[in-house]
Amino acid sequence: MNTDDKNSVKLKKAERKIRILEDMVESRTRNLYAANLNLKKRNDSLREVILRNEELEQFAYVASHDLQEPLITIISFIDLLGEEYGDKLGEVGKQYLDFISESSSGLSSVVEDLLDYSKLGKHHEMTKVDCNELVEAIQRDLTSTISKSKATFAVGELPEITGFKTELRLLFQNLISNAIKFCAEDTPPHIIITAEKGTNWTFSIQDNGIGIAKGNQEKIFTIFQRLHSKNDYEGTGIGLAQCKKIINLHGGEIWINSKQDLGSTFCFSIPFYEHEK
Amino acid sequence: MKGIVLNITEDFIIDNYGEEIFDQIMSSCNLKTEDPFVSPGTYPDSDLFEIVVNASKKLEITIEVFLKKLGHFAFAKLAERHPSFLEGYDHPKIFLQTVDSVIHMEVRKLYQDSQLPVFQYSDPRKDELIITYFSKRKLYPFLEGMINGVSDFFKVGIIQTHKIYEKDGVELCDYYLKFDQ
Repeated sequence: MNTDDKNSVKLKKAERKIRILEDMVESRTRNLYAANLNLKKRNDSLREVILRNEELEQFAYVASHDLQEPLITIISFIDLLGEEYGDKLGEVGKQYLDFISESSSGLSSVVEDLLDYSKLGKHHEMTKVDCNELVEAIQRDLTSTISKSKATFAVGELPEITGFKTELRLLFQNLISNAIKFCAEDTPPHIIITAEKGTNWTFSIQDNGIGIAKGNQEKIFTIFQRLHSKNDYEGTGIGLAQCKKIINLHGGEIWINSKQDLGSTFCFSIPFYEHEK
Repeated sequence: MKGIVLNITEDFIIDNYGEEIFDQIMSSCNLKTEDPFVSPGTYPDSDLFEIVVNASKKLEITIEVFLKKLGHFAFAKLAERHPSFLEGYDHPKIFLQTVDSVIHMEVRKLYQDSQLPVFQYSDPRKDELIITYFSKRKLYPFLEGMINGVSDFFKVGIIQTHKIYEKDGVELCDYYLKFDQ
């Protein structure tokens, strides 16, 4: 084969390569277009879901707000009824009144929690939050609970982050209160709080409490989901749903590592802002 | 096998042994693919093996030596083509540990149907690294050559020893790497 022939073969090979590549580009472009359309459809559905969610939140806010007023009236008049007509009601009547009073107070707590839940992240601005100070303030607030439960703490060096201060306080408070509340019988709670810098800040709150069975770990972040009866552990079952919403507001994630009877570690991530890197 | 590996193999033969030898090798091969190889294409593994076997015969070197040299050449070519994967690393040990989680991830985005080897890492000492490599193609000398390419790129000597063994019916190869610094 002379040089011209060789060059001609090379040219043909190069042209064939270009044609094959063009076909591939065309096919990939077609696939990308279809994927894009699909993504657009999903985006539209997602937008619809977000809108519905906002409507539901608004509904929860309005409903809980409007329910509060008549509930306060009911509770006040139950108290008045007890004080002024208690003697005339007899033993059974008084017992009925106690049931009404107890249930109304329970309902009032639920409505209040629901209202707090729908208010999360509204009308607040992000600020710098020193998590060491935050945890110390919560420990001060919980002094009586801590001393009653004989809880001990090991708190590592925590960072200053950017976030919604009130919500972050509620987040830490809920997780610390839970760590104290769900302690094992005859074992004082020991709570370890740490933060680690990776691609995000990852906080962890570890306890030596009763733990959560694998099958229940998905449920716990759902609103009004309780794993124990009110008689065993008090509360409305909204705390961890609040935590999840707060973390969502900050663009992070929350998860749990736990085994039944072997304690729990709640972890959550909070993204960095440019100046914190 | 992705076309990019076959293209690099073609370039390796042409750059090191000339077009004449390349043409002779290719005409002695019985390839399943009739069209020229293009980098995003997917071709039978047997086509690569056919070229490797015929090239080693023609060049009178063992298949192992050919694959080792090819791996060395391939790393330099890939580094030239995708410099961003190497930016930000100042030591080969750190870079090598990103291959499975970063580079293979990116390769999958570019070449969706690629069948990549699996790497697992152990970090026994500061100046050592063990890579456990699994690939159904078992191109062990090729990876050895690529690691030599990594060593050249970072200008840090790497002494390699290898152990091929079977675990749960799967053949694996451990690359024990000791870094100069």
